[in-house]
Amino acid sequence: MRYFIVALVVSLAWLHQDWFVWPFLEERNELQDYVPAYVSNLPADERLAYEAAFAHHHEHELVMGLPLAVHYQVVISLATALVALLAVWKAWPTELERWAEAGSHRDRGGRNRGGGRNRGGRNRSRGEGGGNSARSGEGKSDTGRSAAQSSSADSSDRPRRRRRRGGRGRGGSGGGHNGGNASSQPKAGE
Amino acid sequence: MNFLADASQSNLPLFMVGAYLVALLGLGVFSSTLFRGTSKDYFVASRSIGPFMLLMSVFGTTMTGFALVGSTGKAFITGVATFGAVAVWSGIVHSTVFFVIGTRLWAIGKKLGYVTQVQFFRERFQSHTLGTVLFVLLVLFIIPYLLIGIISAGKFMQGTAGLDPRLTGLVICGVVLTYVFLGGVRSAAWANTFQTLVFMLTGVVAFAMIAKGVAAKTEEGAGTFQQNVKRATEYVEQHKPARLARGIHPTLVEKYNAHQEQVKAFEEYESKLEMWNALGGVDSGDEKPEEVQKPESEGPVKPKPSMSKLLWITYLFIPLSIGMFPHVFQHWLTAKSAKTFKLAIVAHPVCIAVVWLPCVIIGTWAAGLYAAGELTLPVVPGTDKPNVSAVLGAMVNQLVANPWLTGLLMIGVLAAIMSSLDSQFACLGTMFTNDIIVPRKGKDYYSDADTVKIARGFVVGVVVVAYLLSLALMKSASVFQLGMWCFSGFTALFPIVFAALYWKRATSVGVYACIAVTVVLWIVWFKESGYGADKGFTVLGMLPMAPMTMASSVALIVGSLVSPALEERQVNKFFPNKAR
Repeated sequence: MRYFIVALVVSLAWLHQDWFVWPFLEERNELQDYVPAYVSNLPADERLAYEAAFAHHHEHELVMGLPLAVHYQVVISLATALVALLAVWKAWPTELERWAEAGSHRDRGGRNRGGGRNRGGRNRSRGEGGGNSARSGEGKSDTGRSAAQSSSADSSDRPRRRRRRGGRGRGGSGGGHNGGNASSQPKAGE
Repeated sequence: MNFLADASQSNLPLFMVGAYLVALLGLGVFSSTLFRGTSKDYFVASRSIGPFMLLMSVFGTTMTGFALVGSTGKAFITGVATFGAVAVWSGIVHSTVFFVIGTRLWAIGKKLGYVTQVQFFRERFQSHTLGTVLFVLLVLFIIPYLLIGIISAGKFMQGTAGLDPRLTGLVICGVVLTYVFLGGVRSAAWANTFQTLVFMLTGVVAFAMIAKGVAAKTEEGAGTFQQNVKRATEYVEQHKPARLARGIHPTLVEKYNAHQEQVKAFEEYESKLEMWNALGGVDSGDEKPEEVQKPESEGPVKPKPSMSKLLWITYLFIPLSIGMFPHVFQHWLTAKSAKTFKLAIVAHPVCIAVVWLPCVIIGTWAAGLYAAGELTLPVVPGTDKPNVSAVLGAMVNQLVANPWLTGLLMIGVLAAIMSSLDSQFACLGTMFTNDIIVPRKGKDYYSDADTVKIARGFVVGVVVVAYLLSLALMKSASVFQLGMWCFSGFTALFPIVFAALYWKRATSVGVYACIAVTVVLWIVWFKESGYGADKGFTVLGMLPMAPMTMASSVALIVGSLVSPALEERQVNKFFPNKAR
């Protein structure tokens, strides 16, 4: 569906270049059999309406007081809104929303509790953590910290937590004098 | 009593403007009572803005005074093509940018807690210096844009009500400062919603009343609304048909061909006459060639389209600038959820058409009236060219002469200008606080309340500096030219935000290359255009922003590919499908 929407947007951009359209319509107008037979049988007012809508094929022709090109561009505007409606209806990136919401839930949720540890129970280094390093989210911002703070707040909050949990002085893997977790990781890996 | 009635009648527009400003101030103060006291509320309204307010605030922010005054003036010169080239392109591009860029930036901003673009770029490209360079560039580009608002409001009120532009600047800066100071972006969003509704209404009402005024100038006179529109446009067809087509209007071709035939016939006549004289004239016995009148020496020039096809296409690049506007970025972040964007994505093209179509048609009618000598416009000082910025005001004053409509028009123009100004002031205050001050001292140095105080201080500082600059540059036209060129800068930087969101391989080196190319080309072409004096300046038949954006894109791609890739784990956190 997303590719279809992309194709529609590209088509809109192409159709917006209306100089492709006028000569094409003009050629059709010149064809003998262009006006369908049933139009001739229509009542006068309906025939006039048909002609107003389809028989004037020059961009400057006035229809309802405005040049046809303006009507054409208004239709393109409305078509853009319709394509946008289709896009938000059928191609909405729900996964994006879930991803954003999940981040803030995780911050408040239980997963945060073990955030400072690797699977083996070792403390994580500052930059480590893949998704978790991205997990600053709204919990942090609610305290009023701004973006850079909030995202870097993650990494700076973690060591404090780890220290409380006794990362220091645990069987030598704590990294000696560094208080630390940042330097403890390489040792643990050795 | 009559004197008093006349005085109140003549001052009615000013009373209306005063009442509007008081109402706006009241709304701003009311919305500030909703302020939760946190910096997050001050900067991004606690990400709590709903669909309708997001639509109105983003739309109001993107529509400056140019949407009413500038579009009418542009249509006066270019005709109905203005609507397709600017408004319809904007509808297509803005909706796409909201969908493709806006929602994604919102998600990243929400997840990682960003409130400014620079914070995002710093972490995405893992370069603090790059963020600072972008900060400087964005501030430099936005300041002239902001000044245009203050100056054009002053000039507009001077032209329509004879007010001192310094006073107008002071009043609108004071009103905007009050509500932004109190409530931050939340107040700006509330005020924008109100102002957007006002200027949308203004365009439609002005259209209906001006149509009647133009129709009254025709032989048939005024009638129903549809008849008025029809007669007004037919009047243009008689006096300035070129304004009714993007291409060449056939009437112009006919006139040109007729003149060319006259010239040809006269040349033939002259050569025949010469030969006849050489043969002895009357004595030659031949009949004297039939006399052909000499055509006017200055006939119609060879007709050209109102807008070339290439130029029309390259108008596509103007609305791309919205992706890099820092104030629009900030409004995106105020959304309650990604779903909040849906209404903005769908309704934005329609809102643009509602504002632009009436103004473009009014500008086109003005061209017809001006050609017929039915409209007088002030000239640009030092030239004999009409001042196109005065077209809308002149149409209202000379055709309608209704103080209510004049008042509504004044309010509409001020609303359009102020709805952009408040977002820009709030955004600059936010940027200085979060991109410069807080990182310098460290995140824990300031409490939340201190951060709000700093931001408020910067908002006051930005407003004061902007006002003083506007006083200094009030009489200079160059700031307008510079402001228009700033759009080119934002557009040329658009590839950065696109690559940051969709291309993992983009690096800081690529971004530096993109910035360098943008700055160099911008300076070279700005200088070549006589520092913006040549308003029709093109590069290879295109708007300069088109080749500039293409070149900056190439620089970004090449720069990124020749530099080492960023650490994947760090980059992945910005890519929802890759983040774990």
